[in-house]
Formats: sequence, structure tokens, C-alpha cells
Amino acid sequence: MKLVMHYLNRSVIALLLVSCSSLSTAKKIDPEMEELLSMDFANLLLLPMASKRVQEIDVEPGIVRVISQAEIQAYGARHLRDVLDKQTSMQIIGSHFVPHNTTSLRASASTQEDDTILILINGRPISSTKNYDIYQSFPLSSLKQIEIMRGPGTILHGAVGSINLVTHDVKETPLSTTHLSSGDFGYEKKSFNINKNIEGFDLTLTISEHEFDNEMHQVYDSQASLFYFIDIPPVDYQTSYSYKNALSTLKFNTLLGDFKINSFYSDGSVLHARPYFDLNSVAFEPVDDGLGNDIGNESDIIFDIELVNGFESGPDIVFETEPESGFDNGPEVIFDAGSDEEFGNFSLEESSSLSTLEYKRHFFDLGYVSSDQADWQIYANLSYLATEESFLSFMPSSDYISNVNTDTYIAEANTSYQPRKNIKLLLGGRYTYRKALVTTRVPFFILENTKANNTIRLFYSQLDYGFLNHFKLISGIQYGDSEDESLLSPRISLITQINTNWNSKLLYRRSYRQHSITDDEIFTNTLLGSSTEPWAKFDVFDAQLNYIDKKLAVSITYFNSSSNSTRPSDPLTARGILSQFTYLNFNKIHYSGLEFEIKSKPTRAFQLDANITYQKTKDSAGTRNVTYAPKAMIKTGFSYATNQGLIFSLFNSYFSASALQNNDEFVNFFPLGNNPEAKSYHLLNANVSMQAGIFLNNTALNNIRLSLSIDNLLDEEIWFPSIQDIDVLSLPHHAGRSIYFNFSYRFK
Amino acid sequence: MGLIDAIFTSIKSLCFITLLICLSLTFSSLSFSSPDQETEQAEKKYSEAKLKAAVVFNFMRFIQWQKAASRTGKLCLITQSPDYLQAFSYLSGKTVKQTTIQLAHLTKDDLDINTPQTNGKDKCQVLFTTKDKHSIDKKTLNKIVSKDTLTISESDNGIKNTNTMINLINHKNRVAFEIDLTNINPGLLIPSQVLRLAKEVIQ
Repeated sequence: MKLVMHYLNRSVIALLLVSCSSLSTAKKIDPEMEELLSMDFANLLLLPMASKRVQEIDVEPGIVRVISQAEIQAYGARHLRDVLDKQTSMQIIGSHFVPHNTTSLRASASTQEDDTILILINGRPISSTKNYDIYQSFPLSSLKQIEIMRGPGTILHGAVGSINLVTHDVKETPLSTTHLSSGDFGYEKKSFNINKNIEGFDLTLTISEHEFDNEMHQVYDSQASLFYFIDIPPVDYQTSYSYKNALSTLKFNTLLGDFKINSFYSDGSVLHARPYFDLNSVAFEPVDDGLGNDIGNESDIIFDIELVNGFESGPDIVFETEPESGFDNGPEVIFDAGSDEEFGNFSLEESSSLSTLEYKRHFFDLGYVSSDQADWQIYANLSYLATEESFLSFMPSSDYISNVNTDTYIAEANTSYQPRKNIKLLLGGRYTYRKALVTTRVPFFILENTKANNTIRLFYSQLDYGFLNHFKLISGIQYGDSEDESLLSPRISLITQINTNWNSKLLYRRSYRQHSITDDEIFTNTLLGSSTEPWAKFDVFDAQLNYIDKKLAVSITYFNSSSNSTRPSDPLTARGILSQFTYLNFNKIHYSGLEFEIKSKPTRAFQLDANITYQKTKDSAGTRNVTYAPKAMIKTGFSYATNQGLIFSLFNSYFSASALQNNDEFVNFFPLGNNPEAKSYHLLNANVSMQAGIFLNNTALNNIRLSLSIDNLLDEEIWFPSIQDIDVLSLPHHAGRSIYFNFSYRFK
Repeated sequence: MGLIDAIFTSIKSLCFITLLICLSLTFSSLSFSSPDQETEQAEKKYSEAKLKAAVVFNFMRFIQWQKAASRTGKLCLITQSPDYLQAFSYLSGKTVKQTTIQLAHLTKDDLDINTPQTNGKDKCQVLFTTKDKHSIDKKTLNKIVSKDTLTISESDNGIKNTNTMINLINHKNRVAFEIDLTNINPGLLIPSQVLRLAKEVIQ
């Protein structure tokens, strides 16, 4: 023992001596300073500065959160949905028809349409009412950062919030990378990313392919029970997703100014039975639609069709085109409840899908920014966005729209004038032309082609005024004009920099959101209420207090907002079986809530993120809990890195049960449509990544990074209320525990 | 009640996370570095203070002092920021145009009204004042600067409000600078390559 103590004492003394000698050595070489001092002066001015704080002091007239590429990687996000589910007051939801299609932000969760948030690439809008391709497959490796704005933003931002996807800057990240991922549920992802300056042109290009199966559904046949009086047991099947993406930006300078071209293409395909999830999978045979087009598969069920207006007749199914209730409902399918014998050849097959939902998005934007002037600048953009939606299904239970093509053209210009450091004026206008072609068809023949187009003109101005060194006032007004109406929307914000650590924001904005072209012009007959108030109105008020220092950023935000012309599905007529999809206005929904956010970096290696939301809703009649959003969300996580090249992270997102649940009594009316109740859940993710070169102490492997992610570590069964088809209690919302491996290689 | 349940379950979840951390630490006993440093494709960012020190160093490299007596090598710094002090200290001992840089950090006491008149030899060749500088009056300033002292400020309100020759600003998260030629004495020559790099030149 004495010997051990002896050696311990000697070791401590030796350690002290070494420490003292290291302290007494001459000025240490600082590699970063040496690098900076040896650099060309011009290049020095291109280098980005690290913030001295845990996050930038945010003086934007909105509630903004910036997620860096480092954070995206640290938490092992597979897609944008993984990132957004961790953010304050956000949850990605979807319906039986379009899974994971919508961002529920600050309790807005009434419809499957993604209509309250604006998605942008480098500040240009790319969103539509269907955005599941972006949420599930947008190539994250192409991003420098994601900027999320909640509540009233600047004059240029969207209705309730916006998600700006900012791609890499070639000057900052002149790297090319390739990523390969594989994991449970058939998950495979390949992406290739180039960031390169080619003779004065800054090019970023990302190509990716993404395939996976996901939520396991146990499908019930409530329709069969109701209409065919047969009892069919539930069937398990999985939804399959397949996406291809290409994203590019090209930036170049001319004597006139800077030009930037953004383009994005996505091609997504979802194979699923969700549109008719309450009817079991059925074995199909190929068939054509009678016009020579292969439209997929035919059921074992033989549909004998009778068309009432003197067309082909048959005993079982009647297609009617009679107007109902004074307005033309379009085609309608009525079942003649046949005998059990006639439907005796139902054959159930696990894991087969009943329908294919395909979605393509083409986006192109040419942007111009005038050369840096002392006090003014001009911005101009020409954008084109096209979506092609194709839905193919063979269930006889519904009339439906199988193809929807939309084209949106935007021309926008604005100028900012800054005569003094504390005054900035923005003036601009935007002209939007939208057109749509909808092909409505039922099995075996085309019923209707509908075309529509409209134009929207917007003019806006904004004044930023800083005064008394502590205050910044931002006021703006927007004038919108379409064929239907003209509307003025004001906004005003006051930002107070109390001292170097504290600031506060008071924000108010009214905004109007134009409905999608298909809703506005084509579905007016079937969307009750929409024709009388074509622009949805939002009033949003925010109050925020922030504290930021080198290690800690804390904010608390109160929001209070309302929306008019919200269009959830009508609970009683939403099903397609006896009538068409019908929507109702709630007239007004009030949303209010409290958000608490904390980000802490107590050491260089450790980072903690947490946010808590408590939110509630009520309609103008005083009814509470009128949207599907949860009342509470608590999201906490951390990451830390080791000198051995490892980064560990854990993140838990807790969502309380949805405030609005589908009515048990109504659900139980369909005896087999009763999925489990949509309860609260924890979504815990873990991620370990390794820089191979550092970890294995081999410089030849410096360009390799490996990571392992576990999603839904607690293997919770996660259900969410069925939004659109409310005679089913809930839908599977997230897959069970799954493991993913990722390999990345970086090219210089 | 729902919120209380939520908080309670989250606390349980956090306990679970904490347990995992403890286990990880126990088994790995690893030392830490910054997550940002390890992240592939993460943009490398530089300390603002170091970047500005390097920029000031470049001014000393490129700007020409006509009189040899003005090239004292004395780089005066007025700041309360330890980051700036550390970054600028690194320039001490570096040689620019056969002149060795000596950093003089002027503290509040130095700037006291009783600051003795310094002779030409001790005057600052360059004076850099940061945002969080001590208050300084003109009389005191005159004691430490000569006509040929290059005065550099760091102000968001623009160079016109600073009465200095060069003002460093943060532009799009990068260092940029403005030059006011009307404040520059004939004893100093700003070469065209520096003027070209300026965001704004007042003539």
C-alpha cells in the first residue's frame, strides 16, 4: 500500500511539474491566428464569423429559429420531418390520403392541406397544399441551414409561419459529398452533393434517391360491413414511399449585379391503401380503362356497372350525376347492397396496396440582386412552380379526382432604400398567375376535365426605423387584389434591445392567404363556404422576451391568433361514400399558447436544446379543442462530442394526446372502423456518429463519416386522429423502433 | 392536469436520458471537443476578434506611412473585451515592414484625464477602439495619437458618426470596412488595393 501511495505522490508531483512547465512556456502558437495572418487580405474578408453567443441575437421582426447543418447531423435526421418534429410548436401530420403532408404549427391542425406554412428554398416559395415530398425526401445534405419563422414575420413571409431551406454557400463550403444510408423498413437513401466554383460560377447540385416502407396499418373493412354485410378481419400492410430529387443553385456575378438560379425537381410515389384504409387489401388483376389506358389492377370483385343516363347497365353499382341539394355535386357513386354471395370472392392479401399516389414538383427561379450600393438595392425574381398529382385507386366507393396539374408563375420585384443607418424602406410588388387542370374520373372512363386560372396582384411596403439606440419599429402594409376581392393587411412590430443580453419583441400582423387554385376555382361547388370568402384571414399577435449570452439562450413567447375561413372537413359528410368531400367554415378559430425555449452550451462539447409548448383552441361558438393539435409538446435533447471523433445525441419529443379526437359514437357506427385511441407519445431518437479519420487515428480516413441512428427508441405505438375520414378513430402515425446506418464521404 | 402529466412524463424521459448519458460517460470516459468541429460540411467559422485582429494587421501591411517617425509599431487598443485583448496580443512581436508591433492596451487609468503628454515616439501608429471601449474624450485622445495615427473604429452606426479613418463593420456575418478619406492625413497613403476592398469610401 505504501508503495502505491509513493508512486501516486510521485505521479502527482510529476503532473504538477509538467503543468507548471507548460504554463511557463513562451507564447503558444495559435494555428487559427497563423492561418488568418498568412491569408490574402481579400480572402480574409470572405470568412464567416463565429457568433460570440450560443445563438445569434435575433432582431428579426418574427420569432425565428435557425437550425444549422451541424445540428441536423448531430441529431441524425433522415428527412425534414425528423427535423421539424423536434421544433417548437411543430408537428408533421397527415391524413389517410396524404401521409405526413402538413405542418401543424401553433395548434393549426384542421385539414390535410398544408395551407398555413410557407416553404421556401433560398427565400423563394416552393410550397403547395401537398408537401409530403418535401417533408419526407428533401435532401438535407444540400442545406447550410433551415430558418423557421413562427408567427408574424416580415412583409414577405407566409401566413402563420415559414420554413426557409437555405442551401450551401460555395465560398463557405467548397466540398462535395456522397451519402449512403440503409436501415429497417426497407430504408435506402443515396445522395450526391457538389458545391463547386467553376470559372466564376458557384454551383451547388444535389441528386438523391430515397425509398422506404413505413407505418404498419391494420386495415379494417367498415364499408364492407356496412354495405355488404360481410365480416372481414383486419389486415396488416405497410405504406411504401419512393422519392427522387434534384436540387441545384447557380450563382454568378455580372457588372449589373448578382444572378442566382434555383431549381428543384421531385418525383414521389406513395403506394398505400390509406385512401380506403378501412377496406382491406384486395387481390387485383391488370385491366385497362376501356380507352386503351392501363389503369392498374382490377379487383377480384366484378363490378357490374349501371349508368343511369342510358349507359351500360348492371346490377350492383350505380353512378349518378344528378344534382343534389340544389347544386351539382358531380358524379356520385351509390352502392346497391348486394348479397353476401355476390361478394363472396373477396380475397385478402397482406401487404398489397390499393392505390398509388404520385406527385411531381418542378420549381425554377431566376433571381437578381443589384450590385452593392451604399443606400439602395433592387431585387427581382421570376419563378415557376408546377405540380402534377396523380392518384390511382380502384375502390368503387367514391368518386374522386385522379389527376391534378397546377402551374404557378410569379414575377416579383422590390427595392430597399436605406438613406440612414436606422431607416430602411422596402417597396415591392408581386404578380401571380395560376392555372390548374383537373381530370376527374371513376374507374373505366373519364368523366370530366376542368380548367381554371386566376391572377393575384400584391403590393407591399415596409418601413424599419431604429430610434433611441434601443428600439426598432417595423411597420408595413400589403395590398392584395384578385378577381374576387381586394384586401389590405397591416403589420407592426416593436423590437426592444434592453441591454446586450435581453431583448423583447411585440409583433402584430394580419394576413390573407389565397386558397389553392384547385380549391378556389374548381372545387367551389363542393367546398362549402369557400366561395363566399376565398381568402383565409389570419390575425396574429406575439410577445417574446429573450435572454442570450455566451452559454445560454432562453426565450418565452406568448401567441394569440385567430383565423377565418378555415376549412376543416365537415364531420358528417366528409366520407366519400355517400356524398362528396364537403368542407365547412368554422368562421373563426382562436389559437393561444405559451412557448418556452432554451439552448445551452455549457462546455465546448455539450449542447442542450429544449422547448415546451402549451396551446389551446376554441371556435367562435365557444367550443374548445377544435383542432387536432396536441395541447402540450415537450421536446428535449442534447449532443456532445469527444476528442476521439465521436458525437452522441439523444432527443425526445413528447406530444400530448390530440386535443380533438374523433367521436367514438360516430366511429362505432361503423363496427370495424375503430382503431386504437390516439394517445400521447414520446418519440425518442438516438444517434452516434464517428469521424473515421480521427477515431481510428488514420488521416487517410479523414473524409469518411459513419453514423448509427435509432428512431423511436422506446418502440412506442404511435397513432394520430384520422383527420379527413373521421369515421375511423385514428391512423398509424409513426413506425416502430428502427435502426439506420449512414456512410458519408467528402471530396475536396 | 394534462400539462402536469406531460411534464411528469417528460421528467421521467429526461431521467432516462440522463441515465444513458451517465452510462455513456462511465464506459467511454472520453474528453470533449466541440460538436461543430466534428461535423462534416459544417462551415468553419472564425472568432470575430481574431478576424478583426488579422484585418488590422493587414492595414498595417498595406497602408504606407510617409514619415519614418510615424512608424512606431505601437498598436493601441481600447477595449474591455478579453477576446479582443487576447487576439490582438497575438500581433505583439510580429514584424510589419521592418517594424515590430507592440501592443498597448489602454485601460481606463491610461485614459484618465491626467494621462501625461506622450512624446512622438510613444504615439500610437494605429489606434483601434472596439464597441465596448471606455469612454474617451478628445483631449485624452490627442495625447495618444498623432496626425499620422491610423484610427480604426468598430461601429454599427457608420463611419460618419465615428470621426475615425476606418470603421470595421459586420456585413452578412463577415468583416467589412468603410474608409473616410476626408479624415486621412497626407502622411498616410491608402493604396488602391485596400480602397477596392472597402465596402464604402467617403471622399
